[in-house]
Amino acid sequence: MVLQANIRKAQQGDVEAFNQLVLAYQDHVYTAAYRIMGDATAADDMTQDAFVTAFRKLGQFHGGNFKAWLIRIAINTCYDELRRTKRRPTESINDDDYDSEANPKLVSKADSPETYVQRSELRSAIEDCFELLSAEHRLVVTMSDMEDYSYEEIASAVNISLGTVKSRISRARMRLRDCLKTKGELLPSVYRQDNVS
Amino acid sequence: MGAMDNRDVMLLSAYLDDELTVEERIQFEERLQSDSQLQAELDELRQTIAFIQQMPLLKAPRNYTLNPAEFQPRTRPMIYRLRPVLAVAAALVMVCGAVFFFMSLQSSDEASESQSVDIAAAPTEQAMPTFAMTQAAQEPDRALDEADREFGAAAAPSELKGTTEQAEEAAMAMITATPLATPTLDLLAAPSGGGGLVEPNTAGEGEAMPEVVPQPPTTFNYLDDTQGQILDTFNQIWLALQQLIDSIRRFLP
Repeated sequence: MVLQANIRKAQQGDVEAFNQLVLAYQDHVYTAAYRIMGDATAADDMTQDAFVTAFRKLGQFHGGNFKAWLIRIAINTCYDELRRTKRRPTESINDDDYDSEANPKLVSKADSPETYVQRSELRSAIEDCFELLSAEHRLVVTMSDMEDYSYEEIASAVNISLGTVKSRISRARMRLRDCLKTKGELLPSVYRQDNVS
Repeated sequence: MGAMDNRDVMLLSAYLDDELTVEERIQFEERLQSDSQLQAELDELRQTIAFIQQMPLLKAPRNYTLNPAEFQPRTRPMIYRLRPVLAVAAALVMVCGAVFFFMSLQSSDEASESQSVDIAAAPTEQAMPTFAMTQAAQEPDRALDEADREFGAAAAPSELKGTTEQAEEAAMAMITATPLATPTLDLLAAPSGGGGLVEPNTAGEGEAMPEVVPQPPTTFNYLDDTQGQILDTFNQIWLALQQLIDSIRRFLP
């Protein structure tokens, strides 16, 4: 109810109400931007631009999932920037960018020191491999596996054919899989690919 | 584990994302039951997706709240809201001004032209209006053309009857047309609506020139009409502006 009230007020131009929405969703928007852009500075810029765009386009929001609407704007902002600059991410994700409290499923303070190390290694391995993907692959994997976009939605948002979406998603996943297999020794035994296959 | 072809790679991903058609899904599941390698690839891919989905939510490095002073919609003065109306009014005034300016120019040109017509109509040979010359010169051409046609018709062998009369008429036409290349004053003095030369000048050179009756000048009537049109136009413009001002006042509180 509070969310809906804030959305309604924000649509009438209430910046303070919109700022409540920003505070509620800025981590999600920033994460999506970071996954796509691959570096903290670009993600910061894209997040700011996305919220400004969202405020100006609030009149176009006609209900539904507000978080998904915000993240769609963030993805579009990132995609436009990628097209403009044709940038390729080079910086790695460092520990300063990572909030261990944000994902208790992956890293929990309740874990034993051994488990904590294992999960940290797993996190690092996944982040490293994800970073090796091209920007196009990061974009489609973020949309598909993190934001639950359908292939058709991705094709429409990124303006590529359905076949290209299928191809990019499958190739990106295969590259991630191959990368993780090379880091098998770093992964905890429970996540090791050899045990899966 | 051997390498898979691209089609199988795409099928695996699409199967996990539930993006296959019913037929494709049935066929793919049949293959999975009989192909252990394909099944192993599917498991690996499923695990990979699980890894991706476990990637952590990052904490935003700062707050992205907007500055109300920058984004709060400001209440603009009435003049800003009336900008489109004022722009239209300004454009209308400019157009009206331009129309009035060109109409004034046109009326002054036509006034000076009317004065020259009056001078030509006066019983003097000094001023010869150009348009009278043109009209007078056109008549001999027509007479010559007609004479040529009639002469040609007379020479045609199929129309021998009456050729003598036609030849005489044609010859007369040519004779009367030739000296008209130099129009005389009586032709020039004819009223402008009369079309200039009507009858050939059969008078000899020594005969007295026909009396020219000065026509009352119509210049002032014409100018009166033009001025009236200008005034009417101005009245209409003024009415339109008043309506525009009234409509602007309706916007004002």
